[in-house]
Amino acid sequence: MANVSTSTGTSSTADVIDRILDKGIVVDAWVKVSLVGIEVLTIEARVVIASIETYLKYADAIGLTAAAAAPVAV
Amino acid sequence: MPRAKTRHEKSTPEGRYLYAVVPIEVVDSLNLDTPGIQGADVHPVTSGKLAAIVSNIEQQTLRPERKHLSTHSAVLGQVMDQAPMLPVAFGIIAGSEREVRNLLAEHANDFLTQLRAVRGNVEMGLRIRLSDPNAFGYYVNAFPELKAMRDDLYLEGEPSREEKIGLGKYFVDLLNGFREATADKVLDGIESVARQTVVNEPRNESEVVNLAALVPQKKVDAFNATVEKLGATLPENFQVDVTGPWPPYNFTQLRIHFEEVEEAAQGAP
Repeated sequence: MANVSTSTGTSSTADVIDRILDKGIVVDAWVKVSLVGIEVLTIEARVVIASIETYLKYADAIGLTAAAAAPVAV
Repeated sequence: MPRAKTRHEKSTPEGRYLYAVVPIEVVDSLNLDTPGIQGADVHPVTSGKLAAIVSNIEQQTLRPERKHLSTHSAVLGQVMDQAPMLPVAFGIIAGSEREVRNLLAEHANDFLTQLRAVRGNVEMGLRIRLSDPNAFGYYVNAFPELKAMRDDLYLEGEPSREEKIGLGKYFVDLLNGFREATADKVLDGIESVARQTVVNEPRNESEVVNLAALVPQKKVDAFNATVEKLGATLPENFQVDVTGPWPPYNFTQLRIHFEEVEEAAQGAP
Protein backbone atom coordinates (compact mmCIF):
# COMPACT_ATOMS: atom_id res chain seq x y z
CA MET A 1 0.00 0.00 0.00
CA ALA A 2 1.55 3.27 -1.17
CA ASN A 3 1.56 6.39 0.92
CA VAL A 4 -0.58 9.17 -0.63
CA SER A 5 0.02 12.81 0.25
CA THR A 6 -2.18 15.64 -0.90
CA SER A 7 -0.83 19.17 -0.80
CA THR A 8 -3.20 21.96 -1.66
CA GLY A 9 -2.00 25.52 -1.82
CA THR A 10 1.61 24.78 -0.93
CA SER A 11 3.26 23.65 -4.12
CA SER A 12 6.92 22.90 -4.52
CA THR A 13 8.97 25.13 -6.79
CA ALA A 14 9.61 22.11 -8.99
CA ASP A 15 5.89 21.63 -9.60
CA VAL A 16 5.48 25.34 -10.37
CA ILE A 17 8.46 25.36 -12.75
CA ASP A 18 7.19 22.24 -14.45
CA ARG A 19 4.10 24.15 -15.46
CA ILE A 20 4.75 27.83 -15.84
CA LEU A 21 7.88 27.91 -17.97
CA ASP A 22 6.51 26.41 -21.13
CA LYS A 23 2.89 25.42 -20.69
CA GLY A 24 -0.20 27.55 -21.16
CA ILE A 25 -0.40 30.34 -23.75
CA VAL A 26 2.99 31.08 -25.32
CA VAL A 27 3.48 33.96 -27.74
CA ASP A 28 6.82 33.16 -29.35
CA ALA A 29 8.03 36.70 -29.97
CA TRP A 30 6.98 37.89 -26.57
CA VAL A 31 8.94 35.33 -24.58
CA LYS A 32 11.21 37.57 -22.54
CA VAL A 33 12.71 35.08 -20.13
CA SER A 34 16.39 35.59 -19.55
CA LEU A 35 17.91 32.20 -18.90
CA VAL A 36 20.93 33.68 -17.18
CA GLY A 37 20.75 32.45 -13.62
CA ILE A 38 18.01 29.90 -14.26
CA GLU A 39 17.71 27.45 -11.43
CA VAL A 40 19.62 24.21 -11.66
CA LEU A 41 16.46 22.35 -10.82
CA THR A 42 14.88 23.44 -14.08
CA ILE A 43 17.85 22.40 -16.12
CA GLU A 44 17.93 19.01 -14.42
CA ALA A 45 14.25 18.56 -15.13
CA ARG A 46 14.86 19.14 -18.82
CA VAL A 47 17.71 16.74 -19.35
CA VAL A 48 16.55 14.33 -21.99
CA ILE A 49 17.36 10.80 -21.05
CA ALA A 50 18.56 8.25 -23.61
CA SER A 51 22.04 9.28 -24.59
CA ILE A 52 25.18 7.16 -24.47
CA GLU A 53 26.35 9.09 -21.42
CA THR A 54 23.09 8.29 -19.68
CA TYR A 55 23.39 4.59 -20.50
CA LEU A 56 26.88 4.55 -19.01
CA LYS A 57 25.72 6.44 -15.94
CA TYR A 58 22.89 3.96 -15.41
CA ALA A 59 25.19 0.98 -15.89
CA ASP A 60 27.55 2.36 -13.25
CA ALA A 61 24.67 2.94 -10.84
CA ILE A 62 23.45 -0.63 -11.41
CA GLY A 63 27.01 -1.93 -10.97
CA LEU A 64 27.23 -0.17 -7.62
CA THR A 65 24.20 -2.10 -6.38
CA ALA A 66 26.30 -5.27 -6.86
CA ALA A 67 29.08 -3.83 -4.73
CA ALA A 68 26.58 -2.92 -2.06
CA ALA A 69 25.06 -6.40 -2.09
CA ALA A 70 28.35 -8.33 -2.22
CA PRO A 71 29.48 -9.99 1.00
CA VAL A 72 32.54 -8.37 2.50
CA ALA A 73 35.61 -10.60 2.19
CA VAL A 74 37.32 -11.30 5.47
CA MET B 1 -4.35 46.63 -1.99
CA PRO B 2 -4.92 49.54 -4.42
CA ARG B 3 -2.02 51.94 -4.65
CA ALA B 4 -2.37 55.70 -4.96
CA LYS B 5 -0.76 57.05 -8.10
CA THR B 6 2.40 58.96 -7.39
CA ARG B 7 4.07 61.62 -9.46
CA HIS B 8 6.86 59.41 -10.78
CA GLU B 9 4.31 57.08 -12.33
CA LYS B 10 3.26 59.64 -14.91
CA SER B 11 5.50 58.02 -17.54
CA THR B 12 3.61 54.72 -17.54
CA PRO B 13 5.70 51.85 -18.96
CA GLU B 14 4.46 50.65 -22.33
CA GLY B 15 5.19 46.95 -21.82
CA ARG B 16 2.47 44.60 -20.59
CA TYR B 17 3.26 41.42 -18.68
CA LEU B 18 0.60 38.76 -19.36
CA TYR B 19 -0.88 36.39 -16.79
CA ALA B 20 -4.13 34.97 -18.13
CA VAL B 21 -6.98 35.23 -20.62
CA VAL B 22 -10.56 35.28 -19.30
CA PRO B 23 -14.04 35.73 -20.84
CA ILE B 24 -15.18 39.37 -20.91
CA GLU B 25 -18.28 38.74 -18.80
CA VAL B 26 -16.26 38.06 -15.65
CA VAL B 27 -14.12 41.20 -15.83
CA ASP B 28 -16.38 43.57 -13.88
CA SER B 29 -16.58 41.28 -10.88
CA LEU B 30 -12.91 40.22 -10.83
CA ASN B 31 -10.91 41.12 -7.76
CA LEU B 32 -7.32 41.66 -8.91
CA ASP B 33 -5.64 43.01 -5.82
CA THR B 34 -2.72 40.54 -5.73
CA PRO B 35 0.34 42.63 -6.68
CA GLY B 36 1.86 41.78 -10.05
CA ILE B 37 5.51 41.46 -11.11
CA GLN B 38 7.56 44.19 -9.41
CA GLY B 39 4.52 45.20 -7.39
CA ALA B 40 2.65 46.64 -10.38
CA ASP B 41 -1.17 46.77 -10.37
CA VAL B 42 -2.86 43.90 -12.17
CA HIS B 43 -5.64 44.91 -14.56
CA PRO B 44 -7.63 43.64 -17.54
CA VAL B 45 -7.15 44.65 -21.19
CA THR B 46 -10.32 43.88 -23.13
CA SER B 47 -11.14 43.10 -26.74
CA GLY B 48 -14.44 41.68 -27.98
CA LYS B 49 -15.50 38.70 -25.85
CA LEU B 50 -12.14 38.39 -24.08
CA ALA B 51 -9.87 40.07 -21.59
CA ALA B 52 -6.20 39.58 -20.87
CA ILE B 53 -5.02 40.00 -17.29
CA VAL B 54 -1.82 42.07 -17.36
CA SER B 55 0.40 44.43 -15.40
CA ASN B 56 2.62 47.24 -16.67
CA ILE B 57 6.31 46.45 -16.88
CA GLU B 58 9.37 48.47 -17.81
CA GLN B 59 11.83 45.66 -18.19
CA GLN B 60 12.44 43.95 -21.49
CA THR B 61 13.47 40.63 -20.00
CA LEU B 62 12.73 38.79 -16.81
CA ARG B 63 14.78 36.19 -15.01
CA PRO B 64 12.92 33.16 -13.71
CA GLU B 65 13.69 34.05 -10.13
CA ARG B 66 11.73 32.47 -7.34
CA LYS B 67 10.00 35.74 -6.41
CA HIS B 68 8.81 36.35 -9.98
CA LEU B 69 7.63 32.76 -10.40
CA SER B 70 5.64 32.96 -7.20
CA THR B 71 4.14 36.35 -8.12
CA HIS B 72 3.03 34.93 -11.47
CA SER B 73 1.51 31.91 -9.69
CA ALA B 74 -0.17 34.06 -7.04
CA VAL B 75 -1.90 36.27 -9.62
CA LEU B 76 -3.05 33.22 -11.56
CA GLY B 77 -4.26 31.59 -8.36
CA GLN B 78 -6.42 34.60 -7.57
CA VAL B 79 -7.92 34.67 -11.09
CA MET B 80 -8.49 30.92 -11.09
CA ASP B 81 -10.49 31.14 -7.88
CA GLN B 82 -12.94 33.55 -9.50
CA ALA B 83 -13.30 32.77 -13.19
CA PRO B 84 -12.68 30.35 -16.04
CA MET B 85 -9.23 31.21 -17.34
CA LEU B 86 -6.38 30.23 -19.63
CA PRO B 87 -2.97 30.60 -17.99
CA VAL B 88 -0.16 32.35 -19.86
CA ALA B 89 3.37 30.93 -19.53
CA PHE B 90 5.92 32.81 -17.41
CA GLY B 91 7.75 35.74 -18.97
CA ILE B 92 5.46 36.76 -21.83
CA ILE B 93 5.69 40.54 -22.32
CA ALA B 94 3.80 42.49 -25.01
CA GLY B 95 5.24 45.74 -26.31
CA SER B 96 2.05 47.68 -25.63
CA GLU B 97 -1.59 47.43 -24.66
CA ARG B 98 -2.49 47.66 -28.34
CA GLU B 99 -0.48 44.53 -29.06
CA VAL B 100 -2.41 42.72 -26.33
CA ARG B 101 -5.73 43.76 -27.86
CA ASN B 102 -4.54 42.64 -31.28
CA LEU B 103 -3.55 39.26 -29.87
CA LEU B 104 -7.00 38.78 -28.33
CA ALA B 105 -8.77 39.84 -31.52
CA GLU B 106 -6.61 37.75 -33.82
CA HIS B 107 -6.90 34.55 -31.77
CA ALA B 108 -10.38 35.06 -30.30
CA ASN B 109 -11.72 31.77 -31.66
CA ASP B 110 -8.85 29.72 -30.28
CA PHE B 111 -9.10 31.37 -26.88
CA LEU B 112 -12.88 30.97 -26.69
CA THR B 113 -12.72 27.30 -27.74
CA GLN B 114 -10.10 26.52 -25.11
CA LEU B 115 -11.97 28.49 -22.46
CA ARG B 116 -15.08 26.42 -23.15
CA ALA B 117 -13.03 23.23 -22.78
CA VAL B 118 -11.62 24.11 -19.36
CA ARG B 119 -14.56 26.03 -17.88
CA GLY B 120 -15.60 24.57 -14.53
CA ASN B 121 -12.48 22.40 -14.33
CA VAL B 122 -9.15 22.60 -12.55
CA GLU B 123 -5.87 20.83 -13.11
CA MET B 124 -4.61 18.33 -10.54
CA GLY B 125 -1.05 17.03 -10.55
CA LEU B 126 -0.17 13.45 -9.68
CA ARG B 127 3.33 12.14 -9.27
CA ILE B 128 4.47 8.72 -8.16
CA ARG B 129 8.03 8.23 -7.02
CA LEU B 130 9.95 5.51 -5.24
CA SER B 131 10.16 6.19 -1.54
CA ASP B 132 13.28 3.99 -1.46
CA PRO B 133 16.25 6.40 -1.55
CA ASN B 134 18.21 3.85 -3.60
CA ALA B 135 16.20 3.75 -6.83
CA PHE B 136 18.63 1.45 -8.63
CA GLY B 137 18.62 -0.99 -5.73
CA TYR B 138 14.84 -1.09 -6.03
CA TYR B 139 14.90 -1.72 -9.78
CA VAL B 140 17.54 -4.45 -9.53
CA ASN B 141 15.35 -6.27 -7.01
CA ALA B 142 12.14 -5.64 -8.92
CA PHE B 143 13.51 -6.93 -12.25
CA PRO B 144 15.27 -10.31 -11.88
CA GLU B 145 16.44 -10.08 -15.52
CA LEU B 146 18.28 -6.86 -14.69
CA LYS B 147 19.86 -8.40 -11.64
CA ALA B 148 21.00 -11.42 -13.65
CA MET B 149 22.52 -9.19 -16.31
CA ARG B 150 24.30 -7.15 -13.65
CA ASP B 151 25.70 -10.24 -11.93
CA ASP B 152 26.85 -11.60 -15.25
CA LEU B 153 28.63 -8.41 -16.30
CA TYR B 154 30.15 -7.38 -13.02
CA LEU B 155 31.17 -10.86 -11.89
CA GLU B 156 34.75 -10.43 -12.99
CA GLY B 157 35.49 -6.78 -12.52
CA GLU B 158 34.57 -3.84 -14.70
CA PRO B 159 32.61 -4.61 -17.91
CA SER B 160 33.58 -3.05 -21.25
CA ARG B 161 32.08 0.25 -22.44
CA GLU B 162 29.92 -1.61 -24.96
CA GLU B 163 28.64 -3.99 -22.30
CA LYS B 164 27.80 -1.04 -20.09
CA ILE B 165 25.93 0.72 -22.89
CA GLY B 166 23.99 -2.50 -23.47
CA LEU B 167 23.09 -2.72 -19.79
CA GLY B 168 22.09 0.95 -19.67
CA LYS B 169 19.86 0.56 -22.74
CA TYR B 170 18.28 -2.55 -21.30
CA PHE B 171 17.55 -0.66 -18.09
CA VAL B 172 15.98 2.30 -19.96
CA ASP B 173 13.67 -0.12 -21.82
CA LEU B 174 12.66 -1.81 -18.58
CA LEU B 175 12.15 1.54 -16.87
CA ASN B 176 10.00 2.88 -19.71
CA GLY B 177 7.85 -0.24 -19.71
CA PHE B 178 7.47 -0.07 -15.94
CA ARG B 179 6.50 3.61 -16.11
CA GLU B 180 3.97 3.01 -18.88
CA ALA B 181 2.36 0.11 -17.07
CA THR B 182 2.11 2.12 -13.84
CA ALA B 183 0.72 5.17 -15.66
CA ASP B 184 -1.88 2.96 -17.39
CA LYS B 185 -2.98 1.62 -14.05
CA VAL B 186 -3.34 5.14 -12.66
CA LEU B 187 -5.19 6.36 -15.76
CA ASP B 188 -7.64 3.48 -15.46
CA GLY B 189 -8.13 4.25 -11.79
CA ILE B 190 -8.91 7.96 -12.23
CA GLU B 191 -10.91 7.67 -15.44
CA SER B 192 -14.23 8.35 -13.73
CA VAL B 193 -13.06 11.57 -12.05
CA ALA B 194 -10.89 13.11 -14.78
CA ARG B 195 -12.16 14.65 -18.00
CA GLN B 196 -8.75 14.65 -19.65
CA THR B 197 -5.23 13.57 -18.74
CA VAL B 198 -1.71 14.36 -19.91
CA VAL B 199 1.22 12.08 -19.07
CA ASN B 200 4.47 14.06 -18.78
CA GLU B 201 8.08 12.93 -18.64
CA PRO B 202 9.17 11.87 -15.14
CA ARG B 203 11.76 14.17 -13.58
CA ASN B 204 14.41 11.59 -12.64
CA GLU B 205 15.03 7.86 -12.16
CA SER B 206 13.13 7.79 -8.87
CA GLU B 207 10.00 9.15 -10.48
CA VAL B 208 7.68 6.61 -12.04
CA VAL B 209 4.65 8.65 -13.10
CA ASN B 210 4.14 12.38 -13.68
CA LEU B 211 0.70 13.30 -14.94
CA ALA B 212 -1.86 16.08 -14.96
CA ALA B 213 -5.63 15.58 -14.88
CA LEU B 214 -8.36 18.04 -15.81
CA VAL B 215 -10.93 17.57 -13.07
CA PRO B 216 -14.38 19.19 -12.68
CA GLN B 217 -14.19 21.61 -9.73
CA LYS B 218 -16.95 19.75 -7.95
CA LYS B 219 -15.13 16.45 -8.32
CA VAL B 220 -11.84 17.50 -6.71
CA ASP B 221 -12.74 15.75 -3.44
CA ALA B 222 -13.80 12.66 -5.36
CA PHE B 223 -10.50 12.80 -7.28
CA ASN B 224 -8.52 12.89 -4.03
CA ALA B 225 -10.56 10.03 -2.60
CA THR B 226 -10.06 7.99 -5.78
CA VAL B 227 -6.29 8.51 -5.68
CA GLU B 228 -6.27 7.54 -2.01
CA LYS B 229 -8.03 4.30 -2.93
CA LEU B 230 -5.67 3.74 -5.83
CA GLY B 231 -2.71 4.21 -3.47
CA ALA B 232 -3.92 1.23 -1.48
CA THR B 233 -3.43 -0.97 -4.56
CA LEU B 234 0.10 0.27 -5.30
CA PRO B 235 3.31 -1.16 -3.79
CA GLU B 236 4.39 0.03 -0.37
CA ASN B 237 7.57 1.65 -1.65
CA PHE B 238 5.64 4.02 -3.92
CA GLN B 239 4.97 7.56 -2.74
CA VAL B 240 2.00 9.26 -4.44
CA ASP B 241 1.96 13.08 -4.37
CA VAL B 242 -1.15 14.95 -5.41
CA THR B 243 -0.95 18.71 -6.01
CA GLY B 244 -3.49 21.29 -7.03
CA PRO B 245 -5.84 22.72 -7.90
CA TRP B 246 -3.71 24.38 -10.57
CA PRO B 247 -4.71 26.65 -13.45
CA PRO B 248 -5.16 24.38 -16.49
CA TYR B 249 -1.57 24.72 -17.75
CA ASN B 250 -1.40 21.25 -19.21
CA PHE B 251 -4.72 21.70 -20.99
CA THR B 252 -4.04 25.08 -22.60
CA GLN B 253 -2.15 24.36 -25.76
CA LEU B 254 -1.68 27.63 -27.57
CA ARG B 255 1.65 28.52 -29.09
CA ILE B 256 1.27 31.69 -31.10
CA HIS B 257 3.87 32.70 -33.65
CA PHE B 258 5.22 36.17 -34.02
CA GLU B 259 4.25 36.82 -37.63
CA GLU B 260 0.56 36.51 -36.92
CA VAL B 261 0.69 39.12 -34.17
CA GLU B 262 2.85 41.41 -36.31
CA GLU B 263 0.38 41.30 -39.18
CA ALA B 264 -2.50 42.03 -36.84
CA ALA B 265 -0.65 45.00 -35.40
CA GLN B 266 0.03 46.40 -38.85
CA GLY B 267 -3.54 45.91 -39.96
CA ALA B 268 -5.01 47.60 -36.89
CA PRO B 269 -6.38 51.12 -37.22
